[in-house]
Amino acid sequence: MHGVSAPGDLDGRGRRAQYIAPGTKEHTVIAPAQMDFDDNLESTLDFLDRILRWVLKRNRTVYVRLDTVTSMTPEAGFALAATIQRCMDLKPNAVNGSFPRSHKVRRLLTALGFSELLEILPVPESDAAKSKRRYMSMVSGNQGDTAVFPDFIRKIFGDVARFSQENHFEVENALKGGLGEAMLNVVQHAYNDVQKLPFPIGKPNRWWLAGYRDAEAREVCFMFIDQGATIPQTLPLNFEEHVKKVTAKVVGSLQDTPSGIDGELVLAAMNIGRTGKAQRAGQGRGLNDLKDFIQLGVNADVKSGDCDGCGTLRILSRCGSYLYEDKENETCVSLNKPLNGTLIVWRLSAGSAIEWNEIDE
Amino acid sequence: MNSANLSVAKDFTPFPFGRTPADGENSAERFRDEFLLPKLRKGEFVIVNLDGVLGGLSSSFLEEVFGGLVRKRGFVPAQLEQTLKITCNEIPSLVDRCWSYIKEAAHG
Repeated sequence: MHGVSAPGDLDGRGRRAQYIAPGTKEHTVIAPAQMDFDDNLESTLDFLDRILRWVLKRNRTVYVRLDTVTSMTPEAGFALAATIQRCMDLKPNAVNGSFPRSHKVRRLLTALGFSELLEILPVPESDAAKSKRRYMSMVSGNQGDTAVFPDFIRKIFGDVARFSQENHFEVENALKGGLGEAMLNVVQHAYNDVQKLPFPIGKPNRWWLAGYRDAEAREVCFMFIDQGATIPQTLPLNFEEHVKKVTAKVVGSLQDTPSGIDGELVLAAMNIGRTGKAQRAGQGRGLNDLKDFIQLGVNADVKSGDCDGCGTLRILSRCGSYLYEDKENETCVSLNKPLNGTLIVWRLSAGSAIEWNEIDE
Repeated sequence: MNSANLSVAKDFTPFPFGRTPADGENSAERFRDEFLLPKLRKGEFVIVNLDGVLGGLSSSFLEEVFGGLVRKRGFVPAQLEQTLKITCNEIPSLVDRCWSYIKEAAHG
């Protein structure tokens, strides 16, 4: 996002990047006012998809207008940064844009490391410091590397939070194990059949990790994303799923996305023995591991009689949207718009699995 | 029977990852075949300790190490019960999980 508008120049178009040759035709992609994966899920996904489509498919320079954004959730900002970085890996000068007018959104993007990662102008330090949430800047890699986890978790927790003494090894291992399985899924499956993906990939096996703590809400969040083949694309289908997929093709408009059953496929993948190379004996447990951190966090709360939606695991993968709260609350939905990759978000709040110090941040 | 101690964290790596060498150099297959298997084949009683791992112990890693002894290296659970002990003071439940992988692998 070289040549974005300067922070003080927020008229929506701002200063033009000098590298853009005269006569180059930019295509403008306007962000939705609210960027989130909840009420504005499909408009946010559509926005991200349009950036990829114009840059990587139509080979155009794109001007991303973020000045229109009034609110943005961390996971939406995270997915946006990963999307733009993918574009820039392939076409370094193809993305240009404006900063959000909203200070809150600008703070979020800066705190996530949007500026450093994408080499754009940061928002002023004093402004960034006002955020109550403490974000860990995005970390990215392209191989299995669990050595990043301890330091990453330590920075998320800071001096403010820590795993509860009672079962801290177990909870910590559940978190690291879940992150590790997400990473393994990338290394083993996500970038194998890249010719089947709708858009070219940037760096093979690339993944991104980010997160935050919110001492006020007593919440920690870990986010992981890749932009390779999705869970619905790589899950070996059973007979019933084949029939449903074929039916969806006949009835509707299936090309590659949406399939109409992606939500069900993500849900199915969460069961032991269904993922990736699950036909091979012993395999197919990994995605089920993603639940463990939330399960242990929730269980800890049940023990203390204080559990009310304190933990969630959210997965978006192509058109599948999956939400896990506990064994009785596991839901899936198939969307009309795809995420070009897989986003996994663990959020644990107000739980007894994590202890908080009384420090005013 | 001689006994040998083998720590994943100290003798192999504090950052295990993945199943096969294609996943990375700290894979389960490498730990199993280069560290654990030679001791078992020498007829030693091996005590594998899982404490001290900093990068996390995932199901994929543990299944490939212990289930893989049965699936890929021809051991049977009864034989392993005589020659293998798994310990983990930090997360005792992992011991049962590893043995369940061994038994499940025997059932295909």
